[in-house]
Amino acid sequence: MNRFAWLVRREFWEHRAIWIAPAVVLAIMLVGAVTGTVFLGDVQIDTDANGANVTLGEQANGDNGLSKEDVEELSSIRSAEDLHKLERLKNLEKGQHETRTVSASEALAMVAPEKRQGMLAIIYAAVTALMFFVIGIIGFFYALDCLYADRRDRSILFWKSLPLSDTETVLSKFAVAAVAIPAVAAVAAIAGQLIMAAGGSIKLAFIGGEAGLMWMPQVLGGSAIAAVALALVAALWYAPLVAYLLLASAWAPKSPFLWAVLPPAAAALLEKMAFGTPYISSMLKYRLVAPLQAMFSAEKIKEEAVHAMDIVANVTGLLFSPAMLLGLLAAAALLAGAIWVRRYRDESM
Amino acid sequence: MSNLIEARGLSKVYGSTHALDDANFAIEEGKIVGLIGPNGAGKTTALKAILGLTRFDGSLTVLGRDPYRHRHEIMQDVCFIADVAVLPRWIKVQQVVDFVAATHPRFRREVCDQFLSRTDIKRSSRVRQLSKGMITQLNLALVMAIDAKLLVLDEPTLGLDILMRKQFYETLLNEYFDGQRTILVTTHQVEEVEHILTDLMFINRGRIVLDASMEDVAERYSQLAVRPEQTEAARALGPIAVRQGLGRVHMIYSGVPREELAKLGEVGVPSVADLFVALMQGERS
Repeated sequence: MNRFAWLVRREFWEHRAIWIAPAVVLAIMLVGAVTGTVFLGDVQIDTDANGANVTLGEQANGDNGLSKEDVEELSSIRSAEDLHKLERLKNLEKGQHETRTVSASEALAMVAPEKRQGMLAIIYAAVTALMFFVIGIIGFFYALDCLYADRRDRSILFWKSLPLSDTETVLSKFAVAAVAIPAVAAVAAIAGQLIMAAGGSIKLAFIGGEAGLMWMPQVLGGSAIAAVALALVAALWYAPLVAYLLLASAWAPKSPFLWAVLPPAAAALLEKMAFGTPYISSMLKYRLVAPLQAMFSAEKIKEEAVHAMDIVANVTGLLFSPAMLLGLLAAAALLAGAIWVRRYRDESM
Repeated sequence: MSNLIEARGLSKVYGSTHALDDANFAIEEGKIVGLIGPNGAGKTTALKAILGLTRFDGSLTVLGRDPYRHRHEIMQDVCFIADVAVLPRWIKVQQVVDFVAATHPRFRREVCDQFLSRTDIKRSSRVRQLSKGMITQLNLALVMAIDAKLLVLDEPTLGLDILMRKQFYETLLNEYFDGQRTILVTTHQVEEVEHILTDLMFINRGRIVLDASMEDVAERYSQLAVRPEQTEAARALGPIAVRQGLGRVHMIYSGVPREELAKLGEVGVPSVADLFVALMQGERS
């Protein structure tokens, strides 16, 4: 194993959340999928509606107390946050005699056969989105901490006593945040899809459904490819964000979180006050949510004729946007800045 | 003998304080040098400059290179122990040994293993679970296993009990120092390093006020336990320090012939600690 690989390995020793967090999420998914009652598999089903045209919340209409906006919201789950909303709205629903909550696998069995493939693709895409969302948060705090933690506990002097250049050190941390963590997310997302498939099959077997419904190979394959594509896109798309956080982590005298978050927040606020325009804040928001948003953006998804490969196409579409290129240029500059600061920052004792 | 470290006009300013003020010194290969100074004298700044951790003015070379520009290259030949707090607390003993073995080309794992096997340190422990003494032993095991040319020790025994301190320096002298390696050590516990040093450097307010071999120090400085009736005569010889001992006055002289002093009382070599106090007080007045 070469030195760089050891540097990367070191990061996994220190920041154990990188692999513990996805393991915990997978464990929760396993429990949820097997019991078939918890977690994102839950959908709203109107039992009066012939059990035919039901998808994730789509059937919830005006007469069961949901507003039109709520229905819109439910019909296009975009992120884990939306999933929470779904959960909340469902709770409002309790007691309505014409609706009941079933697990994803049950819904799959109840829905019209021609819609099953699209529904399953969305279920697996939601698993992927949830996993990336959780690991994205882990990655955010990793990048923010990795060049600060050793300055805080003064072990930086130990690391600097080894014949390793600061460029190697910073690049190893960048590689962990921008390459290893998305890769972990992709692997965990695929594992999550398989857990959902296995758990759903068990549930279906219990209710006398067709266990093979969860294992449509084209959907499983497409969903796995979508997870890998999302990892690739996330690695490149978030590279400037990671580099920016590394710079803050290397530079901040204290509280890298505030040093990282306050400047862009202040810039957005100043812009709003001075010009009344929201360009900075919308740019930042776009940078943060674009990949997950892209997953569920296609018209086809609303039409329920979705194919897992549509999700791949949606996500990879980002690769060729001008924003991607600009982001990569910014990433290179910020990374150079982080290396420079790490190299020349005087850690006065 | 070539100079391992050479500093000329070495200066470092933090705001309005001169941590190093035109310091000049040279350290030869194969020496054990004590860098002694009061708090805030510039010791740590000097070490940091030598280790390439801080920018400085003036000229400084370590192994013939500018340490600030070539830090990671000179670190192949330089080791340091800053003080016990420096090893990351989350790391496991096995991990740190593996990591140093993988990243340091001059690390000899068998030396480290052999040293660790003589301690109570468990490989599976994290550093935070070890006692202060064990952390120092681990640090020492890592550093001794590196075949380096220069070892820098900054208060390496801070917070250790006297047994551990003695053991630390004994191990260092018996198992590490081979006459070719160079050791630069700063400490407040002067008495414990005194007998292992070959050279002595005093630093005060960023300046080097003494830079001499121990032999030179012994030749140049003498301590006189003055007989009571000779006190006036002893004062006339211009001592650099006067200390009221138990029943007797002790005076320290610089460059006064021993024979002359012998007439006034018992002559000896001042301890490094006494000499340090004498020179620092001289600086102050």
